[in-house]
Amino acid sequence: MKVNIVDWHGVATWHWKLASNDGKAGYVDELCGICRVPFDGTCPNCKFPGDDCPLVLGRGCIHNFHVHCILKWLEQEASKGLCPMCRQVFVHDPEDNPHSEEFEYLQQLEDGHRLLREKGETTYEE
Amino acid sequence: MIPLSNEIIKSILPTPTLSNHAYGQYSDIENDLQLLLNWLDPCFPIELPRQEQPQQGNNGGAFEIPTPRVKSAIRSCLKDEPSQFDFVKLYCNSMTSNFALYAPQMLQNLPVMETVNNIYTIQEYYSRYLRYLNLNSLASSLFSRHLKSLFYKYLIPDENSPAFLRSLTEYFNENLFSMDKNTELSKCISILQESGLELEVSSSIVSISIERVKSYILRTCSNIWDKPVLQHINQWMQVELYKYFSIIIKPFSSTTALLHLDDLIRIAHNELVSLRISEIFDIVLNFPTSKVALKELYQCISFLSPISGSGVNGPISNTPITSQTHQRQKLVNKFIEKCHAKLLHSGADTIDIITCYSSTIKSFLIIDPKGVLLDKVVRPIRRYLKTRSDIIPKVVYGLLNDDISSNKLIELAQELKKKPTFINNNNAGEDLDINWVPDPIDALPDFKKGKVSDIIESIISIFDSKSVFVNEFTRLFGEELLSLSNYYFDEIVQKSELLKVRFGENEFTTLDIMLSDITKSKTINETVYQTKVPPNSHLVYHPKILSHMYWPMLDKGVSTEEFNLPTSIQEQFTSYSELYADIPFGHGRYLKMVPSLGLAKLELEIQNETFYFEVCPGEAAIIDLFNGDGNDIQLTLDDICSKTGMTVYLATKYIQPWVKRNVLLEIETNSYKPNTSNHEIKSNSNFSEDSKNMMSSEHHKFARMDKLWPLILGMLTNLGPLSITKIQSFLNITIPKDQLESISSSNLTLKEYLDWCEKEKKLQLQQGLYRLWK
Ligand SMILES: [Zn+2]
Ligand SMILES: [Zn+2]
Ligand SMILES: [Zn+2]
Repeated sequence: MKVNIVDWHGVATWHWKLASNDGKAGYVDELCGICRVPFDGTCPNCKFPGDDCPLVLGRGCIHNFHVHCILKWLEQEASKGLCPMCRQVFVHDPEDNPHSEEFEYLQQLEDGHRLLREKGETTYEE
Repeated sequence: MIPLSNEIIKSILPTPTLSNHAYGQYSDIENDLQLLLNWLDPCFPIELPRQEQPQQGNNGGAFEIPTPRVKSAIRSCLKDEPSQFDFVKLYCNSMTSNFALYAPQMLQNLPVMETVNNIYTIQEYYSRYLRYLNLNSLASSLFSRHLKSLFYKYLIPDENSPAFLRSLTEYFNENLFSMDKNTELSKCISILQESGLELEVSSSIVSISIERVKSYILRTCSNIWDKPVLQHINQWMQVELYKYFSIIIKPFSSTTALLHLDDLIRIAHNELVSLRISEIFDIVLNFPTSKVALKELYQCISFLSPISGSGVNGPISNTPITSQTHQRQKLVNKFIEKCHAKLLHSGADTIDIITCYSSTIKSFLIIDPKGVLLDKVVRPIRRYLKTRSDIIPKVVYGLLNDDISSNKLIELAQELKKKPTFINNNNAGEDLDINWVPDPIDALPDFKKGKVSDIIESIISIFDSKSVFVNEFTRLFGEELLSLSNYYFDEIVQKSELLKVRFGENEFTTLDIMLSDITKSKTINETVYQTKVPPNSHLVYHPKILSHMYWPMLDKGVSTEEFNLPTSIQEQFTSYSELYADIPFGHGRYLKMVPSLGLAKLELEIQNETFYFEVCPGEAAIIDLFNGDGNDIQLTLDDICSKTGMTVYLATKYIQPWVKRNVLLEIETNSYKPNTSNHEIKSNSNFSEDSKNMMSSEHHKFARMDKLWPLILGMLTNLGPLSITKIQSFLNITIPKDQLESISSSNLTLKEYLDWCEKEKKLQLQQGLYRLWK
């Protein structure tokens, strides 16, 4: 008997690749630290997961967020541009993220906070 | 009893006055009285008046026409009202004592007609004298009332055992509806009416008529629900029943209006209503055949006006015409009682209960368009349905399946396609409805018409939350999506749009995400194949890539089975995953395979013959182990388990279908080998309970051509109905020639394919044009 597979309509699931501190940390949080929803789901304001509600991987620290969640956080001056989880300066990993308005805006927010910090330090030194 | 005597009359007569004297009549008073009494004397018949007497006309053995002298005496004695009045009183008293002497013999225990004749004799006897007394109306009515009361007293001496009434009813019953006794009957009725028995006569006739009507209706209308009966009843009333009435009653009916035709018809309708109430449950079960009966019931029940006005003491007030409200209540009670006895118990099928529920809604809206009765009768059914564990899947299946032959609740599917008559919005604005009208008086406090009158809404509202249904829809659609052998799900979109109207747009978020997953998978698959896969590769892997948090079936049942797919597929998945990570849609993401879900299309070559199968991945993984050119492979269950990584349970589960198809033979216990004879191979779907995974041979025949379907679908959607020539030329334009040839390499013509699509209800052929099946 010869078996010939003509067509295979398989099923797979997609998952975000999460930043995990160069793969060394064993445990990666599967929930967005801000909205407490899994990364593979959506932030509270989105309906469709995936491209519509992408993920931001932290470069400075191991924390990841829904882009909409971290934007909301960084928009507040009180955030001081720090990661809400570990209080290090938040910098996203540009390599892992597509170019889009959301990420440009994120870059702006990060830059803004950096400038504020630098200015603050100068003032302090004077 | 005071005998009327000279002295007494003298004492009551007015004292002579001056004016009397002036006219010179004073001295005549004594004389006049004597004369009057002398003449009246025979009117105290001590002896029994002989029957023949009045009938012989003016034999007047005892009666004398008053002489002028007597007449003048009458005038003088009864010249004014008070004296007439007092005279009559005394006259009556004498009559009373006189009656006692002969009335029992004349009026009691005799045949009806004899009694009636005697009444007549007595009446006549008195009226002769009365005629000459020239009494004024007050006095004469006092007299006639007294006479009537005397008759009544002797005819019906005991209200509790009215012997005379019984024999009267019997007499009527025998003679009322036969032509030959008309005259006698008319006479009888009129005499009895004159003697104070109007009511008794009327109610006797009415109750006989009602009996007639009742038996007529029972005889002609029982179980007749599909033909109108009201018209026949009305006609019968007029032709068969009322004609006797009019003949019998005509001369006397002008004032008392014994029975109008309207009254009779009303009685008849009332009887029909009673009959229908007793049949109501079966009438509902027989909907829509019983529509006519329901409409007529509506006519009867809504125009049955309560007894009013004229009828307070009229004959109808004694009849059992029940008020509208009462009838409605009886109808509700009867239906609920039958429902409990016949339907709402564990022996009944859920589908039958739902069907009956739907018929109940439709039927009761005919009987009572306002929905008040419906609201009452559905409550117990709703309460019961809520306890049925299988109602949700049954209703969901009913709503989604368009196949009349397999869907017993096809009605729901048809209903879903209609515009809802009622949308339940829980907004607070409800009270501000400017079209608000008060609920009918017998409505229950939480009555809401729309909630009960729309069948789908009514079923949904049995449950506190719509999510029980929505979850089931989502589950079903999910299964359907994963068993697609392509990425087209228009039908599901159409259905989900209809469902959204009913269940609310926002309830379907999960389904929307699932649909978007499939749409994205299609794009991804196209991108991968168009930009990444080398043209001559043999990739056959087409995945559906799911957002794993939104597919309810992903973490239970079949989807959790783990095993190895055929090596080629495993490899294809790996290369697909790499290609996926390389395109924008896969950016930052990776794929995980769900081996047990999906669909595989296989060709098996057995003895130079090819068989086609559409199977689940588990079955495909098993049969792939037996792939070998020429030499047959024999495998034990253990081999199979270790090669596929399946548990014994899983392996057995997926081997069995192949054994049933005669593709694998179990040569010894738990040892399998391909069948080398191609005679008994069953590649059709008729052998397996999960036959939906099996392709019919026809299906396979057209599998290749099915690749044309998306194109045809697009054409017909955008351009409307097309002829086959148009379709062919569009295909020629859109598909490169060699591809088109390879698609239709089988010698099938486009015509055959389109005809098959028509058979599969994808297309409709009308006047030479193909259009999409609606
Ligand atoms: Zn978040
Ligand atoms: Zn979002
Ligand atoms: Zn951090």
